[in-house]
Amino acid sequence: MELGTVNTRSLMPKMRIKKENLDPGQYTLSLMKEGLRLGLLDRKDIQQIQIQTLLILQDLIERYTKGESSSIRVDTAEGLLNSIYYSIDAWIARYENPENGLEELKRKTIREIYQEGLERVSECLEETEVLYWELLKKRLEVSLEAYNATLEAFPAFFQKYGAVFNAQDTPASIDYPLVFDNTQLKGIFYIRHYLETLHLETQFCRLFQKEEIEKVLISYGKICRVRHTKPLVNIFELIINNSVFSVLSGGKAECAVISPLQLELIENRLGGLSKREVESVIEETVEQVIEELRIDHIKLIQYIHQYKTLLIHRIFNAMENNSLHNIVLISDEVQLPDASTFFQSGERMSDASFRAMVRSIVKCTDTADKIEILISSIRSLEDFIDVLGADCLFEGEYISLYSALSDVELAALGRLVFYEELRESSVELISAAAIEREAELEWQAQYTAFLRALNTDRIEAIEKFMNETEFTGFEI
Amino acid sequence: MLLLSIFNSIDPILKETQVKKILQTNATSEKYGLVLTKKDVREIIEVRKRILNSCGRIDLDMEVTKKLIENFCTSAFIDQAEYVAALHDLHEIFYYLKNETEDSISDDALIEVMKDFYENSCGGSMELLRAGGEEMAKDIRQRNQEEDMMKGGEC
Repeated sequence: MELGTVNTRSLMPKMRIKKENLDPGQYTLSLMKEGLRLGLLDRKDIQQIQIQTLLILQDLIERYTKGESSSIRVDTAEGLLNSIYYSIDAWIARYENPENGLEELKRKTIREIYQEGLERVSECLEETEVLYWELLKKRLEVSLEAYNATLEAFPAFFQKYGAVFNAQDTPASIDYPLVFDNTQLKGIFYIRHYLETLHLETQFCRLFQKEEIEKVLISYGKICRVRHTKPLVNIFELIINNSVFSVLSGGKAECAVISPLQLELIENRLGGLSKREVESVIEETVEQVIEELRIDHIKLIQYIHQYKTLLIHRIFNAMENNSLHNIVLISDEVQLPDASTFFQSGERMSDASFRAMVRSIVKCTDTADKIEILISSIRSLEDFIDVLGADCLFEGEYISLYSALSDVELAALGRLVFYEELRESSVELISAAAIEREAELEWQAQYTAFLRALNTDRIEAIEKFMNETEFTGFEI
Repeated sequence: MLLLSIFNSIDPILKETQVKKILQTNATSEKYGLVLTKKDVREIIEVRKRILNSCGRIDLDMEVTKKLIENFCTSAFIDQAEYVAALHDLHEIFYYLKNETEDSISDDALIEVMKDFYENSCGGSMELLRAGGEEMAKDIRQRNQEEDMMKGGEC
């Protein structure tokens, strides 16, 4: 069998390749299909390419099994074949004009193309690793868990990733979202794109003080009703929004913290404008932000401009729904009580102590004594919830226990009972059917029954704590 | 699946090369009175393909077939009348055991073990070879499991 380059016939296409027919995920295969459709390749050419590809696969199987086995499981072979095509695509897809890619397929053997592509993938891997360590030096000092965990996941990726055997895989836990992701990319090209983009976003965020960033994250956490370290949110997006809104309300671009008064000013300023005028105001403001922050990195400026379109669209939507407050993150300077003083995080009882306490409560016949044991022993909300669910209290005893709790402690329990409502928006205990609904667990049913018996002022106070307090003793 | 679609499309082209390769083994086997015709080889390739499919494996090479022939043609338990059927059985047992041993035994070692079993413990019975192979695979899997646990414990 003759295995070399495919037939050389006239390479001048009579019809142009339709780019929309090319699949970025299987570029070379779709290009071959398109070439066949247009008569630029014939079946024999395709067969020859396929045979050469299988010969590469055969070599790879030998390397993969260290020469010990000529057969492997089909799914493993599929992975190896995809890895081969990833390298072939890396070479062929670099031609902006697909006709040139097709010409390369005709001019060179698949093995040559594969080798060139593999080299490209390997170079990209090396460059990306350097890029990662550079980024790590400049990482933001923020408490956002997804950001930190994602950055820390890359060493494992570089350890697991192989340009030869699994080039198309992305073995990494990447939870932190970018504003503009490219999910069409796979393997190392995706990781490079991700890190390059994160680099740009980080470069921008580093123009702001870490305390400012943290305050904005706290504000965002309050809107989402979750602890500020938890949201899967893009920091660049939050910071640039507030920077633009700061300038828009007469503040400085490097200031990401917005006061309620500034929000009012923004609402007044944008309120009476047409869409076209709003667009123009935001465009000018973004330029002012770039200027004030002295941003001269071309790629970052392009990225900000790309984001500007998204921001304008979001502002239109927010104005239509009267919800500008959801994208302008206000930092309320008023310190609300921190529930962690009541239920201390991390101070859980040992299993043995917990069981001993439950036994004492069960043995106890007097309600007051039961409550005394409970309150004097428990320091964490997790233990508190566990004991509520441990069937050691009876109906009236729940009510007595809740009566002994402060409003903040009741609010901490309420955040678990009204978890679903809080995810959507704030809870309105008085007007909503929230406290009328059926609860899943006995302690929850007793809790809502207890709330129903309270006066309006007390319910409002609990509701305020529930909606506004940052509880550090537990996570929703 | 991409692989199978490519593989199936060029399978007829590969087949002729494969037939030629296997026919070359007659040079060795005929010394022991065993010969394959072109028709026999085509049948062996077809059966091997079905076995690979049912085992969820792919083998782009004919080396295993060649090695099975070269190792087993010397056996006194195989005569010309059963030669093709014996090769079908040997392929089936071989690829089955590759899966059951979790690929932890090389082709050469597995063929060697199979030959040893067949000649000695099994007295030329394919059924006993199959059963003996299963026992061996079970032991290997257990050993692998213990090794994995040890590794897990070290972490």
